Amino acid sequence: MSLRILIVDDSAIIRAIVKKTVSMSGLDVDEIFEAKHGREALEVLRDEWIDVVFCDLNMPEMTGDELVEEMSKDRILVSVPVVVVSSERNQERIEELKKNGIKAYIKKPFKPEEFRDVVGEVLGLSDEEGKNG
Amino acid sequence: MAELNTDMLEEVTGRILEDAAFVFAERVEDDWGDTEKIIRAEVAFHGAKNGKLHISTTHEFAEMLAANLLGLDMGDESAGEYSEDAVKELTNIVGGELLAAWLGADSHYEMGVPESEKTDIVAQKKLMESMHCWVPLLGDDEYRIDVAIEAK
Repeated sequence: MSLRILIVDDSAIIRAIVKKTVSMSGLDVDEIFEAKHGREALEVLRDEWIDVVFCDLNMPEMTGDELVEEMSKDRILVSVPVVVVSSERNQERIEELKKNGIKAYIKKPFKPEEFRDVVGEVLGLSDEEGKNG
Repeated sequence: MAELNTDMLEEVTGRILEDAAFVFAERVEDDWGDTEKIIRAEVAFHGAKNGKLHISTTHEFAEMLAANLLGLDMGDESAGEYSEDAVKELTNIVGGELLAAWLGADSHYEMGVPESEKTDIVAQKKLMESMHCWVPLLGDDEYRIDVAIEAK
């Protein structure tokens, strides 16, 4: 299974790092899309098939929390798994996000294998599906 | 709530620099040497405490930080494009860790979006005089990094 991934972060360097990390993670990736905030992410999600979203929380225009809320109101987008990638440590906010439907949380700074493990878990992939080697 | 002090700033910033960018930093005397131009990033926080975290450094270290974060060779031109962004992201990650260590991960607080500016040594020294708590660090290759908190 080749994955179509959307990275949502207002920081260009973090989008570049996540992109590189995903490419090193052993995941079989078809295409990676990028968005600078939640509103741009919604446009991509409405135009493209996306298997998994990696999303920051604190962003201008539309935060990660607001993006998750908007996706939960859409009968198609509600099924797209969202993995939060953030420096957020506030348990209250993380619990709230889990209640609102995020599938996993990756803490910055992160390691490539965390992406492989989380995507495998979120999409229910076996070693042969979605993972290279 | 733990006590916010220079040891906490040094420990958290040092750990993040090591884990995220393979940079080792230690506390030094307040001396910027010949440095004139500085990149400063800040992130605001609200909740149990209100204030801002500031991280300031030289353009050269910002470029090295970007290169290390991206896994590029020093001197790679694309590292320069990301240097200001790299200091903002460092501030964001240190902010998340620091607030959890200081206020407790169960406290109510929110962080804003990091911002940055190019500034100079005169403005930097004036800003540090108004800080609640700050620590000067020296990273690999003797690059200076100031970490500071203003809080109410």
